[in-house]
Amino acid sequence: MKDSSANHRDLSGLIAAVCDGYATAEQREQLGERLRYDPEARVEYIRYVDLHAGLADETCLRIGTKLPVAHSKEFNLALPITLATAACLLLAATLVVWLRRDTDDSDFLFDPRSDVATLLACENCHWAARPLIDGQRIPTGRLHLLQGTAMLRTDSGAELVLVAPAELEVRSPEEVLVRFGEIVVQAETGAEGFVVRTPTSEVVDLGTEFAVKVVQNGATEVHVLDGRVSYRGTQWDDELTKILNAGEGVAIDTRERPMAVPMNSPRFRDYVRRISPSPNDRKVTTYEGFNYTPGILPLAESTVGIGWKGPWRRRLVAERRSPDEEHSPDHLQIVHGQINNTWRVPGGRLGMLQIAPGKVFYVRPMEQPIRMDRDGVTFVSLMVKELQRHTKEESPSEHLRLTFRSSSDYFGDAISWGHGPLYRPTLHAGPSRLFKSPYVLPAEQTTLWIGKIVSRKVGDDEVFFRVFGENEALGYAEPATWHVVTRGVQMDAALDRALLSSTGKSGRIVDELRIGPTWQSVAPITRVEDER
Amino acid sequence: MPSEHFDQHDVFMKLFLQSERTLLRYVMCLVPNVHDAREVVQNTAVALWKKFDQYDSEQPFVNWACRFALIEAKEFLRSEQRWTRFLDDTTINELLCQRDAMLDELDGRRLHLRSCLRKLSPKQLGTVEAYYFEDRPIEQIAKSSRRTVDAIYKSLQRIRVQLRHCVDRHMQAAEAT
Repeated sequence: MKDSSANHRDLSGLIAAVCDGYATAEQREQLGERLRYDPEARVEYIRYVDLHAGLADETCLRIGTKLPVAHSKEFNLALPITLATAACLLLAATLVVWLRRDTDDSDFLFDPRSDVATLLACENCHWAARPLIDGQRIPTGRLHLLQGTAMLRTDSGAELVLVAPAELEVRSPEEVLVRFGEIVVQAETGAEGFVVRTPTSEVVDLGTEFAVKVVQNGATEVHVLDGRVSYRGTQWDDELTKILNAGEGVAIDTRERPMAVPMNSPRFRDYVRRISPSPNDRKVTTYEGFNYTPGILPLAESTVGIGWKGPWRRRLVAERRSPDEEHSPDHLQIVHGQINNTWRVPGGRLGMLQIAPGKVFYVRPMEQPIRMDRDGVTFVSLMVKELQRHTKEESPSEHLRLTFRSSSDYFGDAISWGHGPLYRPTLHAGPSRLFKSPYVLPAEQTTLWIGKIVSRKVGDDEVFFRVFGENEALGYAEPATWHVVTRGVQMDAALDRALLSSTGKSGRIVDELRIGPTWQSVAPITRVEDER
Repeated sequence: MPSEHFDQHDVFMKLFLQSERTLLRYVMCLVPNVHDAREVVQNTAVALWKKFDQYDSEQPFVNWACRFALIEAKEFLRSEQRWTRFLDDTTINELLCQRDAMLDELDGRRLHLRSCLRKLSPKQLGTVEAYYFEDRPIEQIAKSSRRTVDAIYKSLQRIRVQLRHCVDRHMQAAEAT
């Protein structure tokens, strides 16, 4: 008769064979028998399999934030899951690389492959190295904030407020090292496991909101505002990891001795409320609100707006292709109050452009081009009212696009947001790259289109597209999920022509075209108090 | 209404992606092979979406999703020949009851697993990376590392045992403090 340890080894071997898929039919049956009659075997099996499952999914934190959000029952769910799996594998590979490497103190390189976070907003920020701008993607590396308050979102979904003076090293989407300064972390459901290291401690989020304050000598305070965290000194044995609950605080001195302190930190939302966009953030570089008297407006008189070089016009001969004939009206049809402006976009109830059925193309030259040959971030928004949704049986040829082209190479690099006959968000970028979302736009309602362009002097540019339905509120910062995101696009054009193109049996209404450097400049912001 | 679909699917995807890891963990209790478990989770997603209009948003999504996952896992065990003689319904119920009673312990273990992973040697980490993260077949891992298939299986088993012991030590220490 075998002793208990031999029995245990046998059971582990059986479970391993079944987990790894090389068990014979007899072995699977044998394991099934053990599990049926032996309660201890069930406990052992559950512990083993859960560890096995842990290895399989340990790195799959917050995949959801990387994915576009589906909107149609027609959509095949295999796609997001495949994407999730792919993202998981990519993230996992990143984790393994991270597990293997030593501390990297290198400064940022503009390399999109190592981007792990996005700078959401800044208030009076003064950075030690090059200035960072709202919406900019943040690679792994050091961030030294000399002055101001900055908000970041990592690709794992954790949101961080960084209060100057502070030095932070972004190590991965799941981990930062705070050398000194104060951060507040909000890691809601799905972002659990976010790690904040300091010179003296390691804090692991367990689904919560907490603050970490580090002074220059490395002494650390941890304050839990909501949920709980685990913490330990860097030199402590792992076994000594402690749990800190909401309302509790702990100070860890330079000799890593912990001492309870009263919880004392502002909430994340307090900072959100405090970071109000500066007048410059609110300023759009280009704006068209169609703020004219209702009725017919000759194109030559469409001179109102900000940042335009001239009025709207029909396409020039050199700008015509597919179709190469021009039958667009020589006027704008201005209407009032036809859009359901649930986002309270300023100016969104006054003049708006009603585009007639048929093939309509209007071009307007911009004073300030969108430069794709430089590092920069540009946001664009447009309100759109769909007047009639056509069914597939009607064979609709409905298109609406907002396109930016270059006057020096009109059919070269371009960026275009819109939808086609299937009413799915589409994004054209570069000379001919097309990116489509599988999601269907909400029918016959007003939508707010928001695009983001991250241009890079070196490396791939990135273009994003998100459509907000009437019932969707806008956050204080850009969304964590976009409906369409480009990959592998490189452009160097100066896009200085805005083109509105609409084709199909139905007309549509557009309004409030804004181009600006920040999310706040193009998106009306829901106040934090309103969200509660 | 398409506009309702727009909102509904948005909500669904957020809820599902938030629950995906929990579902995989749950399913692997019954279908312990990771590739097969992922297939069951995918089938569960499709089933959940079909019935999403019946979901009561006041109830936790993950509980509702687990009920579907159980049905899909049972169906998978019934329909896949290699699994047909593994678990009967009584054993499935016993396992799930036992697992339910151990949830707090399993959560604690999961936390310690992360620390324990860092203690693996580079070679062990390479094997874990290839098998779990890169999803490579054992034969391919063996070929690229110039080892036999059996050696890789043994290595994986040893790694899991080592991690298990490490987690056990952490759990015991945590209980003692």
